[in-house]
Amino acid sequence: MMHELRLETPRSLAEASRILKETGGKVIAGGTDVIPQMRDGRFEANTLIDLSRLPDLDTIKEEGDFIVIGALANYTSIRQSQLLQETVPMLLEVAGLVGGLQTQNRGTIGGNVVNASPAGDTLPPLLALNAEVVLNNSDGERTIPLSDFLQGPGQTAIAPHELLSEIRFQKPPAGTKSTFLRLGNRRGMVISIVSAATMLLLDGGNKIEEVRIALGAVAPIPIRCPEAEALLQGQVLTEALIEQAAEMTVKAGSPIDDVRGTATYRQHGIKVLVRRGLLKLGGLR
Amino acid sequence: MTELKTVGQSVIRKDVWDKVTGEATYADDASLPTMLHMKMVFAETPHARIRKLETAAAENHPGVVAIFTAKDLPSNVMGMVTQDQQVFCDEKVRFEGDQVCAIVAETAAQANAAAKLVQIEYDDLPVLDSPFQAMESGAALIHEDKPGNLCHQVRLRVGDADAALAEADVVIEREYFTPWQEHAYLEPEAGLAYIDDEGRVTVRASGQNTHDDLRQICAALDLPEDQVRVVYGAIGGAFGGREDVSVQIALALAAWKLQRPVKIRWSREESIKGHGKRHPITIRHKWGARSDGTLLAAKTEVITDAGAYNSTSSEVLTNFYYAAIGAYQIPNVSMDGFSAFTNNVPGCAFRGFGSPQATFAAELQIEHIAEALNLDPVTIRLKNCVRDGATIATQSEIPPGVSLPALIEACANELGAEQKGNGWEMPIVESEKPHKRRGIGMAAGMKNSGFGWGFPEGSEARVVLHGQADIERVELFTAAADCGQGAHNVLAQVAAEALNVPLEVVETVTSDTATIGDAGPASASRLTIFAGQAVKQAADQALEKWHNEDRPAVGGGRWDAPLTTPPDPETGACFNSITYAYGVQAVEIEVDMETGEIEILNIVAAHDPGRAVNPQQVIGQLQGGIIQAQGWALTENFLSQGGYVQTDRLSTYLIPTSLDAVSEIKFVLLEQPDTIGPYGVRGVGEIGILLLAPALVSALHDATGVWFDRIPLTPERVISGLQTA
Repeated sequence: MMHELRLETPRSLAEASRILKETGGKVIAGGTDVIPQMRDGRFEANTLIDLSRLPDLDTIKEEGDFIVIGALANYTSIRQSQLLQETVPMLLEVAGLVGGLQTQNRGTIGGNVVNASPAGDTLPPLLALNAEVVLNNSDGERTIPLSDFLQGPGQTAIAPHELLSEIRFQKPPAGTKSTFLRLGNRRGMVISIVSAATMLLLDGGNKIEEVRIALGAVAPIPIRCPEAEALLQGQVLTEALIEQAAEMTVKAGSPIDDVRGTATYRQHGIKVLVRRGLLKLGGLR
Repeated sequence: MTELKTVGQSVIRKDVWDKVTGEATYADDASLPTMLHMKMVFAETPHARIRKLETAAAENHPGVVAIFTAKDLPSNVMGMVTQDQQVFCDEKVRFEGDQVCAIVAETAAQANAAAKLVQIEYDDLPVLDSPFQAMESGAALIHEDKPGNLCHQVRLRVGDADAALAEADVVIEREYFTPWQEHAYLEPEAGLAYIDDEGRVTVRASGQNTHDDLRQICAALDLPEDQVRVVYGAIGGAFGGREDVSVQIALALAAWKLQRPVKIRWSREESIKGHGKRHPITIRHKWGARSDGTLLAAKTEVITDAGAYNSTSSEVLTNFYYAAIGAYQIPNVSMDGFSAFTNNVPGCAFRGFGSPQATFAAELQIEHIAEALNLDPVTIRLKNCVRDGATIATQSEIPPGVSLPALIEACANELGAEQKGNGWEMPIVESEKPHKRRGIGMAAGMKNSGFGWGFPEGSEARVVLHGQADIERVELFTAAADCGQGAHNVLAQVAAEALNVPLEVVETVTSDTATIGDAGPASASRLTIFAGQAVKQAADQALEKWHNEDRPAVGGGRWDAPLTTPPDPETGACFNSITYAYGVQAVEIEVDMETGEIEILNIVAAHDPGRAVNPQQVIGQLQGGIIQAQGWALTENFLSQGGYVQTDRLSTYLIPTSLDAVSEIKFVLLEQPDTIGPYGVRGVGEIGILLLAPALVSALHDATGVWFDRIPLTPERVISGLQTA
């Protein structure tokens, strides 16, 4: 269980990168994943690198056409962000559903992304946003799509000495609506059985200009539903079309049975959540 | 009745400030200089013969002071009812939470690290993970001296059930199942043992009866009772799960052998795997009634999963003698009950002690009969429920003061049901949302208080009055365990009332075997009644001596309860209990027909505390029972496969959070004084948990037209049920 641990608290990203390279330590931000993993003995490290004192990595801001969320932004700050409320309300919905208030105050969006849980609740919305992640090491930085970053349960494309510093995505066009829905076995402090993020932009009438659907907890990594999106794109939004698209999203997943639910219920849940999301965004229910 | 001053007041509990501010010292909060740390080594395999226990590597680990195994105990047995469990297993292990040895080291980290170096070589045995499998002929024996893996068996016969069923107008035959429930007390098992100033091995842990713990420690260590002491500090919940000992004997052994303080604290995972659970029970009912709804006969089979050891499985099954048919009068009953050993976590005491399971099945039988005969839920219950003068299934007359009929009517009225003609018209509820439906369900029940079944029962207390002209200070000594339910405050209120002094002058000296005799456990809804009578008797005696000019004036001793009798082995006939609690609850729900999620909109809870010593605490007990029932019925899905617990943390075993817990409960308290408890009190610790699960199933049927026979009603189970209906 507990063993001798050195705690480093770098004050700049460069210092953090240097310490990471020198020690190969375990990076910790809010600690809501790392501390339970440590208690379980699920990783071995002699050094913990605490990022929580890095300046400016917790901001949520606009940069030209992009919205940039610092990796250290916690769920409470996301939940309270005016910018996100105006542009991507589903991120506020997600942030309000993660854990309890204590977890929301500690847990960071960067941590959720790096942890790469199939059920990580921020991941479907970020996938739907075509988000990119900015990775730093002592030599520089690179930016890759989140869809390439996520590789499997707990597996990412992060290199041994890289840090995740930012998550960025294009600001959705004005009028874009979004929602995050999930099923859980209770209301509070629960890991999703299945989750769905939907985004929708209609033209002046009822024609779909842009639609995106992403699902959580139904595959080794959160996924998009390209076939259903293609079916909807350019069409007039009707309940019948939504039903057809929802049916199609079920095939996108490859859920498993676990303590939270069976694959059968997850497949059922995908359909219900996608249908509900689209009906809600389209103003049909 | 005379005017009461302190009894009946919702005074604020003395312990709440410390609990709210974090000052209260729970078992793990106590520490001593030179203290050592203990780590338990668990079996981690459900059924195996121990070939070899190799501890050399662990012994050589830095900081390790001692490793205790079976050979260190003078008498290596424990068990509250039957001594069928080894403290440290040395021959075979019967469930994954069996304890094999204990490491004691200078630091907790050293003890933990050394525990990983212990090597246990096993010869695996067949794992029996269901009572049905365990009772099959030819099944491996979990206890060699228990043929058929039978832990306990009960048989009840009244009248002629078969003949009466043949004549019934309607017969309902169904099978029900209720699952394990984890107590999920906030405080995991923990304790500190040390040698006190008088050289006694002292264990400061959390339990439900200091004196039961004392007896088991003395037996295992072969020490006289005056050389052992058990003390409780603040206790973070118990609910029956602390009736069995967990860490107490190992701690006492280590402190005694090493003559140094030793501490232990289980992790949540160790707690969930290491202590017992509410029994999973299958109940097969075949009930018959006349066309007017009068119950004629019940033929019943009960199968409980005892798990690896008896714990209290035999006593939980015994409660089915009266509880199997619910709170109803049925003239012809045939009931056979079997409790089978398995390699699962032991079934143990849990708030309700078999009654929640029995009530679940009996209440749904009543609902099915009502549906078949087109009767409303109020009428069928009023027609058949126990009343004054009724004979219950044990062929004894129910003790007088049966308030159940009044509670049924009170609950129905509060719910908005209206008596019309020969029946009651239930409110009709509808959801405004197209994908949701609403429904209402009701359940009634009774719970015996105290052990009963011929077990002699009583409680000790001592009251010391200090002062000269007036009583200035009162010392109340009681070993009654305050597990969070508020027993100490309520007993102080009883003393203050009996002595006619302000509550502020009563000091409670509690839960220390060195200062007072056995109060009996905090269990079976019994403390306010039994310990309460002992306190009142002690106070009355002390007051008499005070009037005879004794300074200080001391009163006390043991109060013995009126006797009950054991069940006849052929028929179950006996006088099983001297007092009961009654209750009726109704629930309104909204179910999402697409996701299966159930939302509880409101609950009506009608209960009879006899006399509420502290009404706020009565409500607190009932609320706690209701929310614990909500968890059992909706979200708590304890999973175990092949003897391995799958849900060993609170992120997978889901108790209700504040977002889940029902926000609106309307309480109706009818106070109809009982004849046993002081000032007419009845037990309220358990009755609150009996009723919500069947009421929810009935509400779900009311909403959807579909019946469910098992819980928890997880969203997935609801959807699956709706789809297959």
